[in-house]
Amino acid sequence: MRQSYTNVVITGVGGLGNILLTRLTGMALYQRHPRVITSEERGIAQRTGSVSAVLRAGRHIETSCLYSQHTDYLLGLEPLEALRKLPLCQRGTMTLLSDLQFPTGRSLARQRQYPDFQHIVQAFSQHCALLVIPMQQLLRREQLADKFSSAVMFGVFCASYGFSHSFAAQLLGETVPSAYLEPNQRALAAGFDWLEQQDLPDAPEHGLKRA
Amino acid sequence: MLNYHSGCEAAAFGAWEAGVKMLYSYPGSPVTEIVEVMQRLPQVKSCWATNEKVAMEMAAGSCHSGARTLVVMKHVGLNVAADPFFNLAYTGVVGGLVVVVGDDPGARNSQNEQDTRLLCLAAGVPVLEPATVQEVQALTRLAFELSEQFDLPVVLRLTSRLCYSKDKLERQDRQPQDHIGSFASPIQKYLLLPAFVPGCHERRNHNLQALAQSQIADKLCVRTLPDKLQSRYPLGIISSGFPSGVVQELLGQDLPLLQLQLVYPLPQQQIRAFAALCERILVAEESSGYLDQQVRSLGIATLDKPDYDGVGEFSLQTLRSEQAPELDSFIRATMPATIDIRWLDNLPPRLPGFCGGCPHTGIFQILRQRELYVVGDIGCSTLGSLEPFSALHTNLCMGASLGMLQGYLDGLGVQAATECVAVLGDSTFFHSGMTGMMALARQECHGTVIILDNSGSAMTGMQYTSLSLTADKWLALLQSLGVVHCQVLPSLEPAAIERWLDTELARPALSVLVLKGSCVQELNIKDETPFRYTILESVCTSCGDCVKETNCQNFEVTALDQDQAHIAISSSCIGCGLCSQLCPEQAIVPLSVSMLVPATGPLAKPLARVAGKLPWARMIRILNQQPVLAPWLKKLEHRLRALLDRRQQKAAAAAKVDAVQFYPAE
Repeated sequence: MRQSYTNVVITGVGGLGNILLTRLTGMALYQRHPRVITSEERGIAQRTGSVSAVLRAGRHIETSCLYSQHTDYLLGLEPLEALRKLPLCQRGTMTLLSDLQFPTGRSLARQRQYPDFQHIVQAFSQHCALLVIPMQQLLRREQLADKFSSAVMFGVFCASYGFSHSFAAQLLGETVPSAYLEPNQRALAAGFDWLEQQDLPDAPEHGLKRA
Repeated sequence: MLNYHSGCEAAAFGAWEAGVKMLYSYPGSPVTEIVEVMQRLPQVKSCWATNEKVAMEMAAGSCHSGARTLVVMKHVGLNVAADPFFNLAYTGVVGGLVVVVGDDPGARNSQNEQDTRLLCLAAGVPVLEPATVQEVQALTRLAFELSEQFDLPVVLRLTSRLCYSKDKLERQDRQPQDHIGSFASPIQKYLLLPAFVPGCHERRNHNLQALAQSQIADKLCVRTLPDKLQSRYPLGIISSGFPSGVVQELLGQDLPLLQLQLVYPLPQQQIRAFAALCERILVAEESSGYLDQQVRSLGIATLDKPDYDGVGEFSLQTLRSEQAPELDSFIRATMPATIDIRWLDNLPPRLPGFCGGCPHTGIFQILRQRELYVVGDIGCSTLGSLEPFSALHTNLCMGASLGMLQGYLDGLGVQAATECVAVLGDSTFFHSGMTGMMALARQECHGTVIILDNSGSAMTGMQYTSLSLTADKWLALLQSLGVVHCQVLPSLEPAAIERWLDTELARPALSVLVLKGSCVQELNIKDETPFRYTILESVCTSCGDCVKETNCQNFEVTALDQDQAHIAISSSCIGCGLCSQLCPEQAIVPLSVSMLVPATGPLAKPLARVAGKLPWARMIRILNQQPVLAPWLKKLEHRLRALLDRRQQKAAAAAKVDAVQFYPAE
């Protein structure tokens, strides 16, 4: 039964383009599955709060709630927010983690501290496969604002899932208003090309570059 | 393009396909998007009303004229609209009237988790409850048919989870509606005089009963049985709404299920027939025990669920029952994995906050420093309760801050007027704060009121629900309501606000301050905004006060949790200039100005000190108001910025990306 599903969890901070990423990922998964249901967290959370979404793709799915089912992908647009979803990860989960950190208001006041990034990496790598995306560097190189993280992440996801760049770009073109298409296309290409250029080990259980 | 849409979009499409002519609403999560989608569809007039009661009354007139009408509101909005809502069940409709109500189990965007089904039971209004996005579309279409056939308004109950879910939809053509409208008659039906009320009440009850016993009601039950058919099953589950999908997927292969799409009035025959198939019945629902109680009222015993109290969203764990031990294995399987990392339980929370550059944050810093008790209201201003401001101490419902302020002063004595203020947004003021203001003026209240004006309803994405008033019109309005001491100030003038508070808190009279500032959602923040600010590193002491006092999301704090954080301002800065006015070192200046100040060398610090002393925010605001100077100023700013961009491009081209960090599962 497990093979008939693809379950994706997306998490980040309001304002990073979580809803765009959820929509794009959902549309992409329709390429491989007869039904895709997504569930997003919106409203007040979009005011820079924790935001997450669940995408479930498969034939026999009736709900967007992710309970006992396996999480195939965790797309973490923000390390701390991704860490909150660690309990949803299992050995076969592939986590794509942006290194772009957003401090919480409290962390500046030295209450609960934002965890060290290497501790976050360590926690994930103990439980599932993890790919750290150098988001800060990619965005800086392309001179793009943080909100384009979602398009970079979509590029990495598409490359890892075996979708072509042209297909990903087509979905982007159908979704993003023309006024903002060009920077999103650059962000998509930056993420897609970055993963394509990596010499990653051939390990089918983590799903990277599967055709 | 793929027809992949949300629950809100599905409701809009379903209504449009049913030939809806009018839509009225007051914005509220999770259903605001329905109106925004409908505004893009042809042949429908969509209106934002001042509040939900007005929206319901507009809908009453529209449907009585014969037009199919949709009215949309969140669950607490139905409380505001309860008066016309209850009475519409008595008058009935002419054109179909569908009321879409967005409930919020889990209260992610609301002040309570109330269950609309209970209010509909009291009002005698039928309720449809879809479980999937496709059902939202289909049931919205059907709701108009039911409304006209049974002469009742019909409620479509959605929940946040469903509104924000997406699924594939098949769009249909719009049904032609060629009904020629007329004024409603006879008066025995449409005029609620005491003499006519018993007749209206009887007709409502008769219509409800007719619906409950109709074939349509029977069809609004979805019964699924396990593959292995039996004459009698040990356990069956009755559900409605979003929990139905969860139950269907996780238990549907093993247990018989009855999903109710019509939850009031209940299709009794179908429920009794299903109960006869099962030895025990369990009800799966969220928000309240409404369905369980209704099934029990039919004389059908349902299993007790000791873990269920209606709090939060549906979870399979709430179905735990000592009388249904066979469910335990299913429930255990849905428990999240235990991760053996101690610090995972102690992560810093990430609370929502004001948008970066919101002009209405500064007032909360002032109120906090003055240690005033702030009686708040509903809307973006509630975010003032969160750190670092912690400057909002109570709220209740839309417009309540004014009445509560009066009550506090009555209870504590007029001397308390120097220790508290009421704060509300302009949309909330027009929604139901104006009546409170009249009462305060009439009672000669000594309180202080601050209205944060951004000319719209910002919390839900900036909808224009009322008039946008100039300073003169604000003063005229307030004076006509009986307020003598009132003033309008720009929200980004903290020094002027402080002076006003000094004077008015001490004044033994009602005082009202309107702070005007544009919502950043109105700005095209995806483009580069002019007059962005930056930090002059030669004079910045990294004290972090700018971050703590504004909580602006456009600060980039690159050394976390240190005594002296390294702070920069991101490219998302919209140039409001609040931080530049609050910086104790005066180290924050417009980006273009910073280019004229050397970063290093003997002149760096003295020039930075001079540049920081100038009141840039005020100067830019005043210059921008000059029709001749403003274009020149913007041109100069753009040229300086283009120069800076070229420098940054060179630096970016030379940047390298680190080697990949990949960790296969151990």
